[in-house]
Amino acid sequence: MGKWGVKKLVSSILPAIILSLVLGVSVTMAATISSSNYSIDGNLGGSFGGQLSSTNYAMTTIGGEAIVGSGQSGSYIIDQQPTNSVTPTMQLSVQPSGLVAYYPLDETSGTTLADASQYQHDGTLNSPATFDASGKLSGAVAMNGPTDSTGSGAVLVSDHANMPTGATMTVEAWVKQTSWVPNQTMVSQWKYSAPQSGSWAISTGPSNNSLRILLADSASDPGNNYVDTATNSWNTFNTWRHVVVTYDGNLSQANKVKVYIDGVQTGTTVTGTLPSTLYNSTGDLSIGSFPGRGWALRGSVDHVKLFNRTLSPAEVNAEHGAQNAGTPAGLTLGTLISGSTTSSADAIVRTNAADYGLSIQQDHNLQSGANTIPAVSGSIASPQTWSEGTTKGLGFTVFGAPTLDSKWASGASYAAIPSSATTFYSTSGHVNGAIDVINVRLRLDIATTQVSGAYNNTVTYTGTTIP
Amino acid sequence: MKYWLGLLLCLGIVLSMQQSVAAEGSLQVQPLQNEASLQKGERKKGFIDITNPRPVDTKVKLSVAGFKQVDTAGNLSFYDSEQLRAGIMLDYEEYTIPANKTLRLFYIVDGTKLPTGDVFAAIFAQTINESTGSAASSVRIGSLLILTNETPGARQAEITKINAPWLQTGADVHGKVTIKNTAPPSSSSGFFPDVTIGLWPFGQTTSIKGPLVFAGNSREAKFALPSNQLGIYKLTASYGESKKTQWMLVVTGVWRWVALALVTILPVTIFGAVYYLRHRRRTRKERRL
Repeated sequence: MGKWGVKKLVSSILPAIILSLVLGVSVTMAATISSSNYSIDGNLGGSFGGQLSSTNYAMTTIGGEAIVGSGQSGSYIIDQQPTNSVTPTMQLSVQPSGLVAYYPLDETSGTTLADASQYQHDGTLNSPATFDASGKLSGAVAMNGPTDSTGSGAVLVSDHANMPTGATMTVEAWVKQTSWVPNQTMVSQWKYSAPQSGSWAISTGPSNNSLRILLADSASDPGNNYVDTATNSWNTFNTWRHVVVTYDGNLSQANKVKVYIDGVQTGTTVTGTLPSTLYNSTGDLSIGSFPGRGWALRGSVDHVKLFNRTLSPAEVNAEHGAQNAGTPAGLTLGTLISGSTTSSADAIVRTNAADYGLSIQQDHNLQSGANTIPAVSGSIASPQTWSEGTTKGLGFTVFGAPTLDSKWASGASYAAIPSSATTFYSTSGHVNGAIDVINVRLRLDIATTQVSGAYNNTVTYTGTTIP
Repeated sequence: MKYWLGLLLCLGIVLSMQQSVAAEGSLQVQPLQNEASLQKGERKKGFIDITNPRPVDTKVKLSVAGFKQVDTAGNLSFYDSEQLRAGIMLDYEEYTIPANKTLRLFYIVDGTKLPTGDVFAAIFAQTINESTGSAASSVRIGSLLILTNETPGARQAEITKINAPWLQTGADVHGKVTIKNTAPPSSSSGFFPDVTIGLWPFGQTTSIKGPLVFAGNSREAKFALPSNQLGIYKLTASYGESKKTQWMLVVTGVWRWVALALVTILPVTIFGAVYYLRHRRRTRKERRL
């Protein structure tokens, strides 16, 4: 057995040895390692090549592990991500583009709350905030408003360079307020204690069962510039509600801030003057309070996302629909009224493989009964420039990546999505630990003669190593 | 009139599309690649770990496909193959992985059902969308199986190019070598050629495992040969009888510091000597006067 063979053998049996030691089971370096609860073939070199005749793969219940089905097949369920440093691994996920912070809040112990975005700025759980096992999607975090007068008992994330500071932003969260209480904050980045450093806050209003979104025009803004939703727009309690606030400083005062409750835009009124860009606060991002001011929520918050762009109404609706159905994110091509419509997504790759590739395919052209919307004429080998008004069909482009091929013209050239998996992005020399984000934009326009209908298809992103 | 009719039809599409929601996916798979040999009639067992990192249960479709190399970058394309599906049997074709759990999926590779020679297959885990929509998205990750069933395919290749800087000043001698699999593309074979890299004279020789090269295709392999040398050397890359050479100036290891010292000290010494001589000459002239 060579050096690598020995390493593989050790890596395959080491977890079992550790497990056995924890359980107080005596272990010998035999071909088969076993206890009263499990049996693993020690001859298994890595993940392939075990003896077919061996019956020693089956695992019965132990800790968080359980056999699958009858156990005859050999497959089983184990706790997430068994450690195996020998074999390369890859994680691929797809999210709406522009995601700069993402807190699923699914932890059940400890004080660290993971940021699942590419930037990984984890948050800290501060007492009296606690874990809430009954979140909208798995777990959540519960704040205890009345006992937290300073707003320190929340999930706090130190300010960092990736927080939205420009002219656009979207904040999304699921909120369950136990009953109507005015001035309770769901999410904010606004340090109210001296020295003040304000930016934005999403809270319940001072009265009328409404929401108030505050935007600072200076570090010491006392909170004079805000948007209120209509009376009784926030009047359902003890149930999870989806709240999204979008900000576009380039628009008129009345349109800078849009508020969506459960996927539907709600009317707002503006007081004061909303800034054209977000004030760059140095305060913490707070989930569940207004640091320095108190205003801690009496209730729970789940699944908080921050984007550095303004989600469209269709995208907000897709996010709400997907999460309401139990899926963490939604993507859609959305509204098609006149001209082309787009949908941007981030393919997020975490891998320790040096070389990897991403492929794309669709099951079929956009289809509604017997009618289809064709693909654009460009191909992955030779994408074509999108000409607004002339280009018709569904296409995609890559507008951002660690190594962006010039053929995409920084996102100006589009290709048809092929029916078989075809590589559209590959890289070599990927550094282990780095997270790659590949920005993909789908774009659709149709001929005026296109028959109306519900057009569907599925786009699949495939990740593999490049051997 | 035709324009307004078209616009109305478009609006009809809008309303339908807004109701449809596409779901994202997230999966993790390991290992990403396995290599193995099967004796005649042999069957072997293996597994892949498929992790659901999401906070909700995720239904996953599990499948087998063939793959081939399509370009010199090593990019792959995948195709459906009934024979590969028959020869690589997965425990499940579909499974709902609980939130934040891993499915250790076992499979059996049956040499009697697979084609003989080199076999290239991928086991895919793919999220299944329960909802439909316009461009609903799904993610899929493949674990590649690179098998030799009984007799391997042709193992013939040639070195076609060495691409290395003519001046090497690092801790090693590095560069890239291009190797072509000279077997006929129709043979559907492929392998990882072991390329020998050597420096002459007084240099060491090392063997690097090249990338997978399909019949008829070329690939680049990077190499880095630890080096502590000074002088003009000949770099040779070889595979079997095929070899390519390149001459280069090597100033590596401790010699680059020696060279740096020489480059720094020499001008100072010359300058100092010239200054001293001029100064002495001027002093003598002054004494004569």
